[in-house]
Formats: sequence, structure tokens, C-alpha cells
Amino acid sequence: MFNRLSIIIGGPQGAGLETSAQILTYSLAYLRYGVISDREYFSNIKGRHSYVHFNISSEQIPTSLTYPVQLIAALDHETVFTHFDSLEEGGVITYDVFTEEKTLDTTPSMEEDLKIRLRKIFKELGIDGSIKSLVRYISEDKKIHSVPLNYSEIINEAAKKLVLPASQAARYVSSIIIGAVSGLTNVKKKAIEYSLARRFYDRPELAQQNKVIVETVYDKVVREHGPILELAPSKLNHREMMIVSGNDIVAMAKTVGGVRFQSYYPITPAADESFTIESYEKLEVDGLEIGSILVLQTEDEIAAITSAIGAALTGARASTSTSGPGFSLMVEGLGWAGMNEAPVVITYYQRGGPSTGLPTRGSQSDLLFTLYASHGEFPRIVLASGDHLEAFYDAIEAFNLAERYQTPVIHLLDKFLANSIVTLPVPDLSNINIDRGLIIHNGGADYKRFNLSTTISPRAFIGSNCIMWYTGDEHNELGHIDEDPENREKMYRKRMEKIKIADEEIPEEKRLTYYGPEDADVLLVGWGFVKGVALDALKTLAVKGIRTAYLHIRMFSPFPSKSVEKLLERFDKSKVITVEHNYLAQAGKAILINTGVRITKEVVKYTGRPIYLNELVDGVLKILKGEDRVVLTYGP
Amino acid sequence: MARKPSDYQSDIWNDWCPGCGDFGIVAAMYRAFSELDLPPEKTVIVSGIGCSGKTPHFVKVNGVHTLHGRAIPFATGIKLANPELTVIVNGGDGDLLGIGVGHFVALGRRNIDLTIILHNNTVYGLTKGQASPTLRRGLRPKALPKPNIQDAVNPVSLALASGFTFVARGYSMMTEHLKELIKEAIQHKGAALIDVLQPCVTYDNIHTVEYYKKRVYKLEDTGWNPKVEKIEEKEEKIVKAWMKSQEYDDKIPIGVFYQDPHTPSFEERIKERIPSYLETPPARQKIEREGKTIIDSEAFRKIFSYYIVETE
Amino acid sequence: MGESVECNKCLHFTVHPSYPYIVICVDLGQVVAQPREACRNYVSKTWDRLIKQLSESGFLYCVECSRPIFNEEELRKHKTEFIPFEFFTDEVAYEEAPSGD
Ligand SMILES: Cc1ncc(C[n+]2csc(CCOP(=O)(O)OP(=O)(O)O)c2C)c(N)n1
Ligand code: SF4
Ligand SMILES: [Mg+2]
Ligand SMILES: [Zn+2]
Repeated sequence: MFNRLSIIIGGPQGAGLETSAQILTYSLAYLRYGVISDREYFSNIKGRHSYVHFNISSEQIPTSLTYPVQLIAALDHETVFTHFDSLEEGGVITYDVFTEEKTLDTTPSMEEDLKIRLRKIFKELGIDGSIKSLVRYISEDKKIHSVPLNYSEIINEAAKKLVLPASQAARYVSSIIIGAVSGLTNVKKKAIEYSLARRFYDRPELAQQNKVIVETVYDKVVREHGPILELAPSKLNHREMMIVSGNDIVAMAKTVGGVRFQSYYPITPAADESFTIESYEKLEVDGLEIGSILVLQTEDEIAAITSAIGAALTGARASTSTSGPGFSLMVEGLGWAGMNEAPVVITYYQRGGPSTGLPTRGSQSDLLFTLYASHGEFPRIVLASGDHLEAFYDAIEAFNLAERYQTPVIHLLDKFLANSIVTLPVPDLSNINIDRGLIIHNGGADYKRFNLSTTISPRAFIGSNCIMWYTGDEHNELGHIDEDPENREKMYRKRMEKIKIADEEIPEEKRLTYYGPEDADVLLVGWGFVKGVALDALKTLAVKGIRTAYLHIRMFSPFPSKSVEKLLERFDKSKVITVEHNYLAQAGKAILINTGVRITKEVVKYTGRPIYLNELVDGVLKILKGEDRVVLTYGP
Repeated sequence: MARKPSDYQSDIWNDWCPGCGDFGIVAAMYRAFSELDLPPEKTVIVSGIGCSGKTPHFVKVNGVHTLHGRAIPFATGIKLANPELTVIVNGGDGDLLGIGVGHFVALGRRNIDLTIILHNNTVYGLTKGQASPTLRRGLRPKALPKPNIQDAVNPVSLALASGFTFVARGYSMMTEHLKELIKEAIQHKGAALIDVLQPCVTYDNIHTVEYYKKRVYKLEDTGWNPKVEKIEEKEEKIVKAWMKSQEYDDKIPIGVFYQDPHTPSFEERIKERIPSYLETPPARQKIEREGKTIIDSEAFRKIFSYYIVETE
Repeated sequence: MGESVECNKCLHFTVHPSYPYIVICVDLGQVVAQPREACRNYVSKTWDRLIKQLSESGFLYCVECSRPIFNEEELRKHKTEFIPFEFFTDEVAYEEAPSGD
């Protein structure tokens, strides 16, 4: 029995993979397993190869993904070609016998680069390159257990018994995968039934049809192969579990945090967040409306940020969500918000750049961009979350900080988090505060929006009982254009000093976390999605006798300089390593700028795929052997 | 006690060139605001960048002087977050029809209850007289090194094509007439454009006061009826208005070209989806109770039950 | 045309907004010497004419104070100061003007 399993299910985009992944995740959560899954896909709607990479545990909620995997379930032959190499010895592959004669030549959707690499491998292995030859090779040489299934036969059998509407055809194939995976891992039928009912709550007939297919495959697999990868019963005892993507959890957080105006222009991987918020535009509890949210799809990202700023001026909590190309367009608006001390939140899901880059792949290459974007100088707060739970709390805190310091807040996330789906306990809401900062409801005739008597001036809303002016030009206390050098100096300083106040008020412990033994020898430094894999790496390295700690940075502006500096001092310089999804090791640069301490060792990855546990551990070992820089590339 | 036009004048020294048509526009605004008795604290002027962009500083109502081309989306956020506000946009022809033209078109599609006052001076005033998108091909106002080789966009035609439901043209030196247009535009429930012919005395030696004096005539004097009386008439009226908008040489019509009171405003469309929208729009909702979120754990579980799995 | 009227009471009389000592006749389109006797194109700039102009174009401009005038009350305050009826087109301003924003 397995306490931990890594699984890949793969298939053509837009053809049932999502449903398989969803049903399996629901089922695993129902049985109290901890799950994290990463979705890898092309910038394409239909036909190219995509896959979901699961890490399942009966002992904890896993935080990272790793290779090799124990099971590959293939909806098509491209999945077999792409992933066969990721299987652990003794692992299992399930595939469609119908595809056995397929070769790379009959796989037009595959990128030529991979074909060239594979042809070379096949030649070295001396196989003809058909699925059949490949499966035979891995079965014999790598002791892989193959579970061939006849997909068309299964569907035909089902079609004899049931009326299967053609429009749902892809769903039946996804049910074959569900049946195979659940049979092999001994996920109970009851759990699948529960999940199907949940997924198709509005169409019970679909749930029923799929159940029949799942059970047919399940029985067949168990009968012919047995539950080879049986999962140990879960030791976790949650009574309820949330299943959420990063986009989902941020949408929920914003709702809790009081967002009332969300604008966006569609972009991967941010748009789903706005869709989710829009589906909750009426916040109802027991049929009673407790609030509503206006979600506006704008004509571009310039309109997205500027309309959000406009809404913020009237007192609504306002935000926009985007990714790199969109943020590039928002930069001028960001500066206006800085100049006018407008509290606006920008949720920024990083993806691979520059330009369109790798639009559906993850990256952490926009840290320095967000820290310095826009001309001129003005304070901004930059938060970066490491996992779903942090993203939840940070998304709420972003509004508090924006209003408290009257400044734009950038909440940095990435595609990895946006699209990875995890099981998560329902977050504790009792400690969440709503801090609206210094607000004046009764500004009256003498109101001055930029009153210089305090660094943070009381903010009145447009539409309250006073009038005010805003301008992107340098302005006086009233908000009128003013180029006088003395006024300029005072206003400039007033704005800039807000970040000093934020730095004094926000405890540094909230801006970073140190994980691991106090007397560790090795320190990993990272941010964002690196957190999960770094935490798992600490454990693996500890088993190898390497006492390792992880410094997680959660706020880059204001930067927790004192704590970082103090922490770094404790370590031997050759054993401090930044781990990041970018080329420059940007957090390392931010540390250098803020503390003067240069980190000379780095493990980086910029292929757009997440850092996997296995490669991170290898990378750290190489650094400890004397390398300065390790570039990771694992993952198809 | 009704507010006088002078009650809307701010104390800021107005630094437009002496004789600039912008003075006529702001004068018409003072008068229109006074006649509508707009409460300054419930009125917002949103502007772009340019000579025209300075307008809000000269008026004693809320003023938001934004970015070049972006007045409309700023105004969109302000209006949608608090629809009880009267929101007016002042923008240059470069601002609204050059760098910001995408927002102009998008506003038509949404029909948000905003009044757009376009300062049409055929030049980029504040950057020293370059050709604006309303300058016709072949013309050469004095600052241009060579005659303009780009064609002009016709603001009235474009507004009609974009879906604006109130489309008018005024002339900055006919303030009383312009004032009436502004009043009508503000009272109209939907996106309203007033294309204001505005002589730039410093850079435009072609479209001078003399030039317009000879050409401008009032539509209403010709018996023009801009109003879509019944929704079935919409197509016919819009075609007529569009054809009228093409008249731009020897004679230049001013007045209301088109008005459609039937197409629902964006605010009404939102209300269809969120019935409480107008009573409790985004800006007027309470989002906390004694510093705590109004969504507690119980409410959270109820709202987001879709995401929560009860385990075995 | 009355006898010995001064040119500066004429509707066509204006001054350079930045250098009010330069006197310009809009009608002739030229700089004229001051003081000067009115010519036969003289149109008397009466209070009524100013009021009419104010209500039509919505504003007048006091060159001495460099301020726009938007209503009668304001006009009265500037009554003794120089308020041109028309502005001349300054052909060089664009070459001399800096730019902004
Ligand atoms: C993004 C950006 N590009 C360029 C400018 C420079 N700029 C300032 S005003 C202006 C043009 C103003 O012309 P218009 O919009 O017609 O207004 P006007 O001055 O004629 O009233 C430009 C291009 C700017 N402020 N911002
Ligand atoms: S440059 Fe032209 S538009 Fe600008 S203030 Fe002067 S006259 Fe008016
Ligand atoms: Mg212009
Ligand atoms: Zn005066």
C-alpha cells in the first residue's frame, strides 16, 4: 500500500481531461487524502497535449510535485510518448490499445523538438517507435506494469446499454480514465459516485451514464490487474475539505475582503478569478443578500486599472486582475494611483515572458518589474504569496494595506498557483480584520484631500459631503496643480514617507517566514510557489543529513530588510541559495538592493514548468558540491 | 436657494490663452450646472490631459484630472461605483479620439450615463499644435511643418456608430446654445457626446471664430427632430443623423443630431442582474462590522459550498 | 462718426495680451500707434455691446488682470480696465510657446 502517489493523466486539450481531474480530486478529498495537482497546457484550445500532475498523500496535504510518477493514465498516444520516461520502475501505465500502431509520424500535434529528441531515444533503444514497441520496452526493461484498455469497446458496450448523447462524448473517455485510476489505486466507488453526482448536480442522467462507464472499467481493471497502486487509508481527519485553484481562492478572499468593484480584461492565467467573482456577484446567505460585486470586463487593461481607481475614489474596495502583458499596459495608471494616493489592488499572476512568452506556463520573472514599474517615484506595497492559504489571507490584507497606506498594492502570484488545484481546510476567518484606514465622512467645506498636517491624510470619498480634486500633476493640498519647489518637496516627501510608516507598522515576521531548524547549515531563500517544494526539500535533505532551512519572503515592499540581513549573517555564504522561477534570481537582487548582502548561489528554472522536488534536491546537492548556479529543466 | 453660475467658479487662476474657446465651454458649464442646480459634492468632472484636461480645476465640483486618453474609463469606475453621481468628462480631440478612442467606442457599447464634452480644436494644444484626429487631410495649421496627410475622424459619426444614445455638436462661442446642449446631455440617461467646436487661438489659424461664424447653423432652425420617438424608428433616425453628420464643409450643423431614450443604460442593465444595485451600489455598501468582515465562517461555508467537500 | 474720438474706445481696438503697451487694431490687422484718433471704421465699444458679447460667447477677458470674466457682476469690477472685444491671432505665439503635460 502506498502512502504517497504521483500520477499523471494526459490527453488532448479540450477533450475530457479537466473532468477526469476534477472527479478524481473530489473523490480523493472525499476520502480525506491530501492532494495537489498542477495543470500543464499549451496556449491552444483544442488538440494539443495537456496533462495534470497529481501528488496524493494519506499522511499530509502535499505541497509539491515530484518525479518519477507511479501511474500514467493516457487518454491518447501523445501522452504515452510524452511521459513514458517519467515512470518509476514498477509503475503502471494505462492506455488505449487502439493507439498501439501509432507513431510519432501519426502524432501531428506534438512539437517537432520533442519528436527529434524521442526519435533519437527510440533509435538508441532499437525500437520501431510505435506505441506497442514503446510499451513493450518499458514493460520489459523498466518493469512497468501495462494496463491496456480497449476504449472503443468500452464505449460501444456502454452505448448498447445506455443512451449516450454525442455532445458529451469526451466525458465518456474521461470516465474510462477515472475508472482505471480509481480501480488501480483502490479509490472507493462510493467516492466516485459522490463526485459524479456533485459534478453533474444539474444533470443527474450524465452522472448516471458516467457512473456506469467508470464502474465497468473499475471492475475490469481490478479483476485483471488488481489494485496494484492501492492507497493506504488516509490518516488525515478533516471533516470537510475545500478543493480550490489559486484563482478560486483569491476570488473567495476578495469577496470576504469586501471587494465591490472588480475590473479585468481577459488574460491567462488571471481571467478565471474574475469569472468566479462574477458568478458570486450577488452575495446571498439563506436567500438574503448581504452584498453585491460589480465585475466589469473592460476594453483593455488600461481601462481595467483606471476604472478600478475611479471606483476606489468613491470609496468602493476595487481591484483588477491581470498577468504580465496586461500589467505592462497598466503601468501608467499605477503611477496615477501612486501620485493620487488611491487605494487600488492589482492581482498579478505571473506567466512566462517576455512578450507573449509562455502564456500558459508559470514564471516568477516579474518581481523587479512590479517593484519599479512606472516612471517617477512613489510608494507601493508588493505582496507575494507562496501557497493557496497565503494567497487567501494576502488577497484580503492587500485591501487593508491599500486603504491604510493609501497606495496601490500589487499582489504577486503566478500561473503555478493560479492553476494548481489543492485540497485545503476551510480557512479560519475569525482573525481577519477589515482596516479601512483613515477615512473622513464629514469633510465639509474646508476639506483638503492632501492635507499636509499628517503624512497620511484623512481620505474622503467622492460623493460624500465635500468636494476634492485629484490630478496626476504635482498638486497642492487641495489637489490643484502646483509646481512650486517647496510644495513639490513637501508633497513628494509626504508620499514617499508612507512606505516608511508601513515599514514601521507591519511587523517583519509577517513579511517573511523562516522554516526549519534554528541551527541549520544550509539556507534556501525563495518566494511565491517555490515555498511548497522548498518545504518538502527540507525534509528530504534532512533525511540525507543536511540540515536545511527555508527563508520565505512574502512582502517585497516594504522589504523586511533587518530580519533578512540578520538571518543571512548566520549562514556560511556558500550555503545560502536562492531558488526561483526566473533567470536573474530576482529575489536575490531585491535582497542585495535592500540589504547590501549578495547571495552568490542560485538554483533557477525558467522552462515554465514548476520546480519539482527531485530536481530541487539534486540542485541543492550540486551547489553544496561547489557549483554556483544550477539551472533546472525537468518536466515535459 | 439655487446655485448661481459663479458658485461653480473655482479660485484657481485660469491659464488658458486669452480668447481660447475653452473659456466658452467652461462658461457654458457654469451656466448649465447652475440651471440644473447640481450639488457640487455629487458632481464630478473627469478630464484627460491637454489644455482641455485642466477644466476640472476651474470648476468648483469634484474634479479628477486623469491620464492622457483615460478620462472615460476613470469616469466609468466612478459612475458605476456610485451611480447617484453626475459625471461629466472633458477631453481634447487628441485625448478622446486619438490615444483614448478605444474607450470612446467602448462607452458607446455600454451606454453608461456619462456626458462627454469633446474640446474639438483640431490640434494638440498643450503639446504645441500638432494635428489632432479631427484635423482634415491637406490642412496645415501654422505649427505643422507639412500639411496633414491623415484623414480626420468625424466625432458625431463615430459616436453614432459606437452606440452613443445622445449625440450633439455645439460651438464654444455660442455659450447659451452650448449650455442647453450640456443640460440636455446631463439629463439624458445614457452615453452622451457633445462635440464642441473650439477655436484654439494660438495654434489653429484655420478654424477661427471668423471661420465658424460663417458656417455654423442650428439644426433646430431647420426643423430637425433628433429624437427616436419609438424604438422601431431607431434605424431610420440613426441613418439620417449619420448622413447629417457628413455635412461639414460650407455649412456646419450644430445642435442635437440624435437622441435615443429607449436603449437601456448600463446602470439599468446591471440592475437587471443585481436588483439592489442602484440602492446599494459598490461605493455605498458596508463591508465590515466593527472591523470584522461581514462574511463570517458560517456565511463563507454557505456562499462557497460548491467548493467544499464533506469527507466520508 | 463723431469728432475727435480716441481709437481706444473702438470695438476693434485690442492689445497684445502679454504686452499691453502694444496696441493692435483687429480690423486693420496691424499695430497702431497710441494714442490715435479714431478712423472711419470706428465702432464704439459700449457697455451694452460688452454685455451682449458676454452673454453670447459666455466670457470676456480682462487683459489688465489676466482673468476671464464670466458674468455681469465680474464685468462691472473690471469696468475701468481694458477688456478687448476681440482677440487677434498671434502668428508667432506658436513658435515662442513651450509645451506642457
Ligand atoms: C501617454 C502620454 N503621451 C503623450 C502625452 C503628451 N501630451 C500631453 S497633452 C497632449 C495632447 C493634447 O491634445 P488634445 O487632447 O487635443 O487636448 P488639447 O490640449 O488640444 O485640449 C499630449 C500628446 C502625455 N501626457 N501622455
Ligand atoms: S493652446 Fe489653444 S487650446 Fe490651448 S489654451 Fe491656448 S488657445 Fe486654448
Ligand atoms: Mg485638441
Ligand atoms: Zn481687470
